[in-house]
Amino acid sequence: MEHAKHIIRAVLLLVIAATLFVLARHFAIPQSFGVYGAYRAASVTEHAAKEPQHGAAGSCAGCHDEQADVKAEGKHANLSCESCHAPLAVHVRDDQKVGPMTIPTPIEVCSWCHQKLRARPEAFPQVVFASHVAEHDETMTDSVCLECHNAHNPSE
Amino acid sequence: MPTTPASDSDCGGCHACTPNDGTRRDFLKQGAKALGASVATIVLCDMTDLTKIAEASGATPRRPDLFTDGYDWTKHRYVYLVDIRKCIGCGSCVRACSQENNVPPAHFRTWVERYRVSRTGEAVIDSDNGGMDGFEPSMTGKDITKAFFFPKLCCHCTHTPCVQLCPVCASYRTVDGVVLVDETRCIGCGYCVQACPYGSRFIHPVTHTASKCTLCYHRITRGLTTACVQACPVEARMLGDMKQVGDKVAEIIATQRVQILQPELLTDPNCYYLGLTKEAR
Repeated sequence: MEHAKHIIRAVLLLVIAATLFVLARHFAIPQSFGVYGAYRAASVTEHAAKEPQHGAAGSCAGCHDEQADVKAEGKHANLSCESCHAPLAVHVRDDQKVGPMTIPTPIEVCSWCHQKLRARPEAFPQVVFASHVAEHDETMTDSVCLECHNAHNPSE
Repeated sequence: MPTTPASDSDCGGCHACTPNDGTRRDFLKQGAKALGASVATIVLCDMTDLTKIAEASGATPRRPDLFTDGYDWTKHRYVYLVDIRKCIGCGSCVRACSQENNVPPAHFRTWVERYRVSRTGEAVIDSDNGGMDGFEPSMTGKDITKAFFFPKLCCHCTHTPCVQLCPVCASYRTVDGVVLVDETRCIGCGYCVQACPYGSRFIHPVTHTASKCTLCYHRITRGLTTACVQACPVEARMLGDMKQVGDKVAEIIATQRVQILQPELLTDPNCYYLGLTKEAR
């Protein structure tokens, strides 16, 4: 055992290296990593915890039942209020009003769906805005559509 | 080297021959003890994690405690369906997605393309601002025989190229079938952006990490539908759940001639299309 000292030193070095590896591994790998797969499981919770901006279907009717009733009777019944206005979160949070709801510019909002386009399904109601306005002896303004149509029930 | 020193003061005091000198040996001893203790603690901590892994991979997995509101991700498997024949190209989905997920300007988690195909099969494709501001009537100078809108989003593939090549395990697919990005791990190398054959990923200009459609994970785990599906005025977009009995989308997939994008890539997408044509890609 003349050279035992050398073996002890080598083993000691190995032990230190292994220890450092375990330590480094512990601090480098996040706590929830690998629980469900090769990813940090806590990330799933973080994604799920984000706050929805758009309300559940029908959230608006709680306060605006009058408009909701008008809308429910017309061709816009299946349309989400937030599609034309804005996400609920800009207006209400935790049942408290936090800001005004956006009133959209009718000519812009109506044209998103109803401007005549070749790529639109033919059965969908659409008009060439300029000629439609001229046909009805109106002048083109931002809210010209509302002269004849009720946005919540356009057939009215 | 002498094995028995003449006296403590005669040699340099190496640890091999100065058992009573103390300083270096004590240092090593204490160091070894401290290291041993910390390693033991860490190993014990990791052991508790191991039990979690065993539970997670067992035949009857423990209900995941990832969700606070009783949502069980083993009971869902989401699929998406786009009916191209219904889409009117209004861009409501793009606006809703942008507002719901705070998507940076000029970047899109979902977008709408307009295809106008001529008699010779030539397709004029445009998607001004992702379709967010709707589409304007415009001339193509071609004899257009077929035109349609083509909404696109992440296909949430079963065999995802993006997840496979992420070098830091930042991209992953959840048990309920949603491909997500862990922003805290992503290093923004952009490999996944290049790997996605559907172009559904981008590098966020502020955080410099990969960003993509999450299938509104914060909404679907609360029992809501995605922002784009809720915004669609013509039901061209639908969210389905293959594990729900009598699910409308699952029924359509089972009974109708649905198609997927680029099936030759074997990515096995979970976004299905009705009314695709050969020009749409």
